Amino acid sequence: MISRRRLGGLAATMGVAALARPGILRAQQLAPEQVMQVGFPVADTGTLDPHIAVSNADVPIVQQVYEGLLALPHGALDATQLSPGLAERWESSPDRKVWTFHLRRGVRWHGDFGEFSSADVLFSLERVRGTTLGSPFRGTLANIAKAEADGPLTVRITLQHADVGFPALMVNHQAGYVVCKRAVEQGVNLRSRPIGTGPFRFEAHRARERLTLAAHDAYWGGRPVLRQIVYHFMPDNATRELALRSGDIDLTALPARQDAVDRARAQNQIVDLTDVGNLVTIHINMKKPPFNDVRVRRALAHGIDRQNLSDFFGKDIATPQLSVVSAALGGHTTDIPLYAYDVDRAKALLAEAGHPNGFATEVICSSIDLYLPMMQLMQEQWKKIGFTMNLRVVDHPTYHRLIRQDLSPLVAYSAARYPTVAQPYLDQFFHSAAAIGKPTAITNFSHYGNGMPGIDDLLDKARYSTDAAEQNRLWAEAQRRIATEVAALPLYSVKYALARNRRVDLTFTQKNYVFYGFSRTSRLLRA
Amino acid sequence: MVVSRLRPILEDKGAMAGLGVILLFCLMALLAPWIAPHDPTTQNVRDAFQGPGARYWFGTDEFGRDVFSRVIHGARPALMIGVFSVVLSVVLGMPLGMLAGFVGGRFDTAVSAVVDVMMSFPSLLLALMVVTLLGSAPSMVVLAIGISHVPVFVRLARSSTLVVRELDFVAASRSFGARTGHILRRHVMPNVIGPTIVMATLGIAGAIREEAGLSFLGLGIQPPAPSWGNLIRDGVNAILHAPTLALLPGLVLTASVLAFNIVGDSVRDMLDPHDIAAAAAKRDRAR
Repeated sequence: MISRRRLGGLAATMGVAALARPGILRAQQLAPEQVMQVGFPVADTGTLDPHIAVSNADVPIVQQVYEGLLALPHGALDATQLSPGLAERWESSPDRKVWTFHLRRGVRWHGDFGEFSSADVLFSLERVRGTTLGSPFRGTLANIAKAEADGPLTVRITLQHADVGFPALMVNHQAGYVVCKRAVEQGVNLRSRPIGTGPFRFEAHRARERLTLAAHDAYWGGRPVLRQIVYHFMPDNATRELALRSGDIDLTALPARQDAVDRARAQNQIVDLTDVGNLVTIHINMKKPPFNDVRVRRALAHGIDRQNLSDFFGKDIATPQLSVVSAALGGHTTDIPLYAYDVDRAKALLAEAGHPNGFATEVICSSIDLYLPMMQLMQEQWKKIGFTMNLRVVDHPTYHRLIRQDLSPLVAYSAARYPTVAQPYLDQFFHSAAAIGKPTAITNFSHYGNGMPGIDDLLDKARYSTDAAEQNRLWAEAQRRIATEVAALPLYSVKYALARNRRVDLTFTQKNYVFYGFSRTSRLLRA
Repeated sequence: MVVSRLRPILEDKGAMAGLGVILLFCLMALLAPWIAPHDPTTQNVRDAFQGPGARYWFGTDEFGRDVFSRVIHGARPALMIGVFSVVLSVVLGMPLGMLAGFVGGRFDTAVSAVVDVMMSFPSLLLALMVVTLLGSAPSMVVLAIGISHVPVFVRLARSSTLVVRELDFVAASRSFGARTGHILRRHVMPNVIGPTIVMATLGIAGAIREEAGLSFLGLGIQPPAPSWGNLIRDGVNAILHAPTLALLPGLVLTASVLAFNIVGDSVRDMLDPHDIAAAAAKRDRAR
C-alpha cells in the first residue's frame, strides 16, 4: 500500500525526472564547443550595411545581426507568418492607412550603444527613404507619408495609400531592418562594423579569409546557444565540398546541380533545397537591333528547350518556368502566349525578319556557376535556329557593372524579390522608371515601357489596390503583355542547394532563404 | 654541314622525343576536324560526366561534350597563340633591342627603363592587363602574350649587340661609312639571331602556358571553343568526382610545354659556340 505522501513524493520525483530528462539529454547531446564553422561560398563580403546589402555575400550575415519590428519565421521568407520582433504588437486604423507599432522594452544594442527606442526606428526609416544613402530599397517605403514617435516605445506610420500588407515590409529583411541611430551618429561605418540587436554581434573580419560573429548575451530573447559563427570565405565549389566531407566546416552551399546534391546525400550529409522563387530570365534589350524586331524575339523564344535546361541542372534544382513571374510568387499565371520549342518556326521567324542565314551577336556573361553553364546551354540551343551568341565572359562584379551600362543586348539575370508577390518583381524589371540609363534605374534591362508601350498603367494601378482579385487580374494582364512582346525570356526557377553535417541542429526548417541562418536556439550536437 | 650542325639534336634522344611530341601536336592541330571522333562543342547533357571509355576516350564534361575531341581541338589555339605571340615578340623586341644596344645614349636609357618596368611585372599579369583592355579575341590574346614577352627579346638583343658593336669587323664597317641599318642587318643580326632562336623556342612553351593561364581565368579562348586552359578550369570544378577532366588536359599541356623546353635546350646546345668547339675537339680527338 502506497501512502498518499509517498505517492505524492513519487509523482514529484517522476515529474522532476520527466522535466529534467530532456534537459539532461540535451546537455549530453550538445557538442562541447558551440562554434559553427560555415563554408561561405563567396570570396569576401561587400557591405554589411543592412540598408544596402542585396548580395548573397552579405545578406546571410546581416540577417544574423539585425532585426526588424516584426520577424519572419526562421528559415522562411513568408510574410503570412509574421511574429513580434522589436515590436511586441502592432495595429492599424480601420482604413489601413495608419499603422502603430508598440516597441519592446529593454532591447540592448550590440556594444556600448545603449537601449533600442523609437528614435532608432524613425532614423532607420528615414535612412532608407532618403536620397543620401541611396538604398536600393528606397522604393519599398515610398508609400509612407510620415512616421512619428509617440514616446520612446511607440511608432506611428501614416501611409499615402491604404496597404493591408504594410507589416510585411517592417520585418527583418531589406527595408525593414532597424539600425542604431547613436552608432551612426558617432561615426560607426555600418558597412564594415554592423551594430544590431540580433542574437549575434559582429566580432572580426579578415578580408578574403573569414568573418566571425559572436553570441550577443544580452539578447532580449535569451542567451544564444551558439557562442560563435565563423564564416570562412570559400568561393571554390570543390574546396567547400571537400571541407564539408572532412568535417572542417559544418555547413555550406552546394553548386546548384543535381550531381552535387546526390554526392552530398551519398556522403550522409543533410541537403536542404530552398526555393526562394529565384527565376532565371534572359532580358532582351528591345531597343537594340535586331532585337527591336518582335519576330526576332519570338524566334529566340521558340528556340528555347526548357527540358534540356532542366535535365542539365537536375530535377531537384530547376523547374521550367513560362512566365516572367515565377510560380513561387503570388500573382503568377500561365494564361499567356506560350512559345513552344520549335526550331523550324524559329528559323521561319528569323527569315521573315530578314535573317534567313541567322545572325551573330556578342553577349556579356558572368563567369559564375549560376550563369555561365546556362548561357552555354542557350548558346548551343540558339545555334540550331541560326543565332550565334558569342559569349564574352567576365567576372561577376564586372558583369553587373557592364549590364548596367547597357552593353549587352541580352542580359541573364537570376532574381527573387520580396514580398513574394508579382508587384516588386514586375516593378523592378518591367516598369519604365526602372529602365537602365534613367536616374531611377533598377533592373529594367529590356527597356520595356521606356519610349514604347509597356505595363506602367497596370503596375501603378495594382501597387496600392486593396482588392486582391483585381491585383491578380492586373498582374496577369501585365504578364500577358510581356509575353506577347517577348520583353524577356523566362527559363526556369532554381532552388538553392545547401548541405550540413548531422551535428547541425538548426531547430527550424530551412525553407526559402538563400543560405543558412541561425536562431538563438540553433546548436551543434555531439558527433 | 647542316647535318653536322644538327648533330646535337639528332644525337639527343630527349630532344628527338620532344620534337616527336611537337610534331604530334602540330598534326593534331592541323587535322583536328578529321581526326577528332566527335564535334568538340556539341552538347549531349544526358551523357554528362561519363568516365573515360571506348566511346569517349577521355570521358565527357558537364555538358556531355567529348573531352578527347576538345583536347585535340585545343591544340589549335595553343600552338597558334604560342607561335604567333612569340613571333610578334621577336619582331618587336629584337630590332628594338639591337637599336638600343647599338645607338646607346638616351635612346638606350629610355628603352632599358621601359623594359625594366615591364619586366618588373610577371608576364601573365601584363597579358591580363592587355586582355582586359583589348578584349579576349584570339588575336588579342596573341597581342597580349606577344607584348608581355617583348622585354625579354629586347634585353637579349641589346646585350648581344653591346658585345658585337665593339668588335673589329663592326668598327671596320663603320670606317668604310656603312650606315647603322646596314651594320645592324649585316653584322649585328647574324650574331643576335642564334640566342633569339633559342629564347623563342623556350618562349613558345611559356606562351602556351600563358594562353592556358588566361583561358583558365576565363580571359583567353571563350566558350564554347576549347582550349587546354579552359578545359582544365572546367575540370577543376569537377575535380572531386571526375578528376580526369582536369588531369588529362593538364597532362597534355605539360607534355607540350616540356617538349618545347627540351627542344629549346637542345637548340641552345646546338648554337652554343663553346659546345660547338668542344664537340669539334672531341671529333678531332676521335680521329
